[in-house]
Amino acid sequence: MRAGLAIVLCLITASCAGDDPVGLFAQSRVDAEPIVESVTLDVDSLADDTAEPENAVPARVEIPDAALDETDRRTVNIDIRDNVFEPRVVVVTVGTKITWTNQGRNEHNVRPATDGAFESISAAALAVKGDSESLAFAEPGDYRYFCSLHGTATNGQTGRIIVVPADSA
Amino acid sequence: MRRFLALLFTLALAAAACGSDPDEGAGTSTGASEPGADTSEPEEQLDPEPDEDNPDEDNKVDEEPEPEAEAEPVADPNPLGALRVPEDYPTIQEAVDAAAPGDIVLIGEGVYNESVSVETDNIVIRGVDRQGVVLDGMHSEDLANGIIVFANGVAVENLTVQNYYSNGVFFTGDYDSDFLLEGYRISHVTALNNRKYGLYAFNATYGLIENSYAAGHTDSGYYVGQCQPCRVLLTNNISEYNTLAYSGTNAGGELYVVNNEFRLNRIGVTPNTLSSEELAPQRSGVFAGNWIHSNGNPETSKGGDIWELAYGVGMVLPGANENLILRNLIENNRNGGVAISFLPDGDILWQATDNQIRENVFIGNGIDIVMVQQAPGDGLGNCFAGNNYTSSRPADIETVLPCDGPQGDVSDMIGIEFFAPPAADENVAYEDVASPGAPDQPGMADPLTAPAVTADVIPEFDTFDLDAITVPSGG
Repeated sequence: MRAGLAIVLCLITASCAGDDPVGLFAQSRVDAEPIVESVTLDVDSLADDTAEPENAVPARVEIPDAALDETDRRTVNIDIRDNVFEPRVVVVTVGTKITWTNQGRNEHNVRPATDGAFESISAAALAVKGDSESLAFAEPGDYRYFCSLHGTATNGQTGRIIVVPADSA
Repeated sequence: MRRFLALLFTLALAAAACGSDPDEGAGTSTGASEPGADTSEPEEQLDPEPDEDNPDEDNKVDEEPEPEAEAEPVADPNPLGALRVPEDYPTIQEAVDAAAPGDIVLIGEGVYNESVSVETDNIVIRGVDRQGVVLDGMHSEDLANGIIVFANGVAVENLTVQNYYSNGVFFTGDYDSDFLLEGYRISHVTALNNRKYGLYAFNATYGLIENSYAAGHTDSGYYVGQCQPCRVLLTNNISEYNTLAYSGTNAGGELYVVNNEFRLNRIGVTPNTLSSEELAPQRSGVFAGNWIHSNGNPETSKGGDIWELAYGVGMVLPGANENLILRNLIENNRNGGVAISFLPDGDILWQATDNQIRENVFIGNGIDIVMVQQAPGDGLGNCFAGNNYTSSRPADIETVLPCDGPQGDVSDMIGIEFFAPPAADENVAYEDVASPGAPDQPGMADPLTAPAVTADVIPEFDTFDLDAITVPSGG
């Protein structure tokens, strides 16, 4: 169901160099009320030094219905409750400051689903209600993350930040 | 199979109600083979290599065959057809990943420094020895949970989980994605010195937690959270030396905490409401036949500040509603037996309403029963009847807050800071908290041969017989 309502961004996987979470948004398709109207990127400016395969297969990155469009904001807050990130999926522009605040009774942490995609936030930094930590993403990409105390990279307390270029907002 | 767990459920209750050994009962008493029993097909016998020292043996093909009765029986080393650790898989995670629904993962004795994630429905994870199979997280944030389960119908039994940064065994659904975990069982599990909870079910339903032991946690030994209805039974468990013996945030509805022993914790049993989880407020649990005693133990770890207000109380109902507290033995708790209170939660004061405290026996508590003032002059539907007690605030509480008559004068209720807090030095780091009862916990019978019973069968909670519950005799 979500696919039908979602914006689908095409991500040229070859540019991701394996686990590199930074994607190249080459085109967009809007099936419903757009969250991000259009995304175009200068491929040459974002491609890494690795030669792109001739037959690169585009992979589609779906933005779920529940994704919160925060592309018009420079700071975004994500509440951590027991045991969920709220909002779970946000769309932001490059450079937006993301702040996670523990609003729960439990400790939580923030870890990238792909090792090294961004710097983890430890449970010690989000130990009690009111604790907060911030990050900013300098590159476009689909950054999935999780709390390792209450989930894994693919299950449980997971979240996602879709970072689009500033000029696409 | 559906009847099987219903029977299991009934047997567990009946055994404890009759004062029998709490370990004799559910989980192991039905269908288990005798030790060494071999019901599987014998292994195919390979042709032996020629015996050069006795060449005549090679000519037996043409001779009269030996009578079959004289053949040595061959013991099946794996009668359950289990995925064995470490014989078949070097790690528990690899065995779990290889398991299909209906399989059993059988873990050999040893210490496993793993955090196991389960995503396959209807499997059993069993240790061959409760004390000898130890999952140890070494207090590392990289090993947060001993076993975390995202799948339906999984059973964990007969092992120890200790020193995990977060939780020992953790069954969890996912409210945000509408995944309500259905079917779980924890049997004969020992949880020691995990940083948060020992045995933990969250956004999960149709559960059975039995014959287990938890000690040394900075929150609760047993935690059931965010479920309505929970459809869970906790029975024949022991919880000691935890901050909280049992905690159940926003958890209720066919929730039965029956015939357990909650002793020597900082605070005892706490069904409660918090806005940090969904499904608030907590409501509709049954707490019956438990022995709740000697709580207010200074040799425990301090949890959150809010819980210190209830230090030394056997059972506290902060923001809890419509619960039945029935035929428990509540004795020798340092500050109080049962306390009903609101819970301050940020800008919200969760009130406790419409709880019934019936037919309990109170002995030797600081004060047996107290009502914290939540609304001036209003008992908010909480009532007391048939209890054996000697002290209360307000005084003569069964007269002023009866279950079958009008409310009397309740102006004598207490303030939330009524109980004496622990001294600053009454706090032990969770890693160092003792677990004196752990070595004595019995393992399941016949772990090598008892059939695997997954938790995919839904217990029939609507047949629960409260009349079978009696006040425990205590020590």
